[in-house]
Amino acid sequence: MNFKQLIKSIISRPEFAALAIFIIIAIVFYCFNERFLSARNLRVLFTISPEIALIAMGATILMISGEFDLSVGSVFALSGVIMVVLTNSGIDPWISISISLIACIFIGYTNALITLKFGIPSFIATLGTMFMVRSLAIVIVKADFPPFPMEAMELPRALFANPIPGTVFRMSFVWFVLITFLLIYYLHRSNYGNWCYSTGANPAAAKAMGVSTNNVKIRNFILCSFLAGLSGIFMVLRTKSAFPSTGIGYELQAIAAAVIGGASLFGGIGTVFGACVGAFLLKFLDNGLVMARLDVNWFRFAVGVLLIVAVILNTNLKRIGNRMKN
Amino acid sequence: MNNNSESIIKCENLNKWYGAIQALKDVSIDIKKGESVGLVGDNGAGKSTFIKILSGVHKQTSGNIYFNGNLVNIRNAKDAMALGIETIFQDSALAPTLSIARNLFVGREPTTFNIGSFGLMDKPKMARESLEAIKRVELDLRSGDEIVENLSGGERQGVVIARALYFRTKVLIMDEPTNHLSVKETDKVLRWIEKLKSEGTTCIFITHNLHHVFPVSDRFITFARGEKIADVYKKDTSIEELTRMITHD
Repeated sequence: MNFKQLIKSIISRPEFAALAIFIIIAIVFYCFNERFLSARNLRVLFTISPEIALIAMGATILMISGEFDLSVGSVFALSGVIMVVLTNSGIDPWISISISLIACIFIGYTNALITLKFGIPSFIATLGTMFMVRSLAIVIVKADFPPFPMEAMELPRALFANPIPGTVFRMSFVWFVLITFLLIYYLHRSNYGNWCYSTGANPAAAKAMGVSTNNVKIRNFILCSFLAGLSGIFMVLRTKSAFPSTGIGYELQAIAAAVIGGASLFGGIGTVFGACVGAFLLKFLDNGLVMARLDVNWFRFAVGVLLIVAVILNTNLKRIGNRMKN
Repeated sequence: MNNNSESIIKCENLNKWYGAIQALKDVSIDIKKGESVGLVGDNGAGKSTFIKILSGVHKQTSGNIYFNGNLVNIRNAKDAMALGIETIFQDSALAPTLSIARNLFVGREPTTFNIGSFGLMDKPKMARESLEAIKRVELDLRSGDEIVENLSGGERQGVVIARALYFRTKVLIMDEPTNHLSVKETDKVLRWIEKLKSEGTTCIFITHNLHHVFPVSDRFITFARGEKIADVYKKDTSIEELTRMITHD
């Protein structure tokens, strides 16, 4: 492979634009305030970023196979609520966590069923379940904030949430890395991953080759919901509080992260790594604005600009890459 | 082609109803091994319905299909592919955003480390074999990593035909194989079809353009209003006669 081909293959990668912006933003914020990359602030960044990254990876894989999930923010809230309420009622915390994750899997399956059985756009189906699941989370806690079962949760916290002494990471980061690797294998190395891409890029072709596009989608709806639920559990264990109103707007942040990371709204394009970069980028931006002592109310504005710039960059880089053909 | 050679697909009295509409009426067709057959007829004549039944997209309402002399039940695309019947539908044969290698092996990826139907793709093998496959159809492409989106229409048909050659497809059904192609590319596609024939693949085309497929076909079956109205060998007919049949059935 010669130099030109190397450049071509690098800039044609869907996550290249996001990674470039990520590095630039990190440098700019560092110039504003050296403490942006201090151990203390990195600890903050590595705590909050994986939570949205887990959701974004699920959203990306689902988008690659051609569907959306708008219910992830609600699922994020519900899973923590179920875990805490069940544990408070005297159930073993591990069983509570399991039940909560099974509930998330069930919601993912329901999303898939509504979308595929009735042939309606997943955008609408999951918009519906977004409201329903949010409502469930509020009803379960009777619109109150449940107390956090500190004692029972000691072990889950140690395994999933506590800081790792001597590092800038929490346990959740370790799990995040592990899950990221598994997802990379699933999407980029396995035959199931190839079916995800072909299902999103051209469902008719995938079907003609014997791929069950419905099964691919069902799997990814479940995966997306499961990751959102897991992320919610990490968050509740970390903050020691289960608010039923948490995670509002996460569905759009997840889609934004996916798109910034190079995923296509039309399916068939995207990477796990891109989703991570997109998610980290959003959280770095949020945190960087604070550290640079800029008005935090500009966060959404910045996200909007970032989203548009990233997609424009992506589209054009791909075009340039294509033009460099041999 | 001689009439006594072995039959590969034999259909008896196929009927297909879509609700109250009969799309196929008592169609019986016997296709021999290695033949290449053009299915002609106006829109809605029943030729699409016929190939959709063969490829497992739809199921016949009544009638039997024999493959290599055995009665078969084709429920879906997988069943058809297991028999060795592969169908290239117009504009829907490939995933545009994926590489040639990934497209070539979709649904049939060579895997290592299997758990059930899950497996890790053997990427080196996919890269090697996809390159070999595209070389066989003399496509001027450097690697199987090229994204299908960047290929011309003719090159895409080349990839599809390379796939059929690679998997030793017994019956290849093509829906308008030369649509939207330039004259030069059409020639190329027809040459590939010759190649498939020479390797023993039975080819079935659906076509509007008799001029394109006339040279590579051995036999023509004409459909009208869901019925088979003619079944003739090339030597016994002409483009003019076939055109007359289609337009004045």
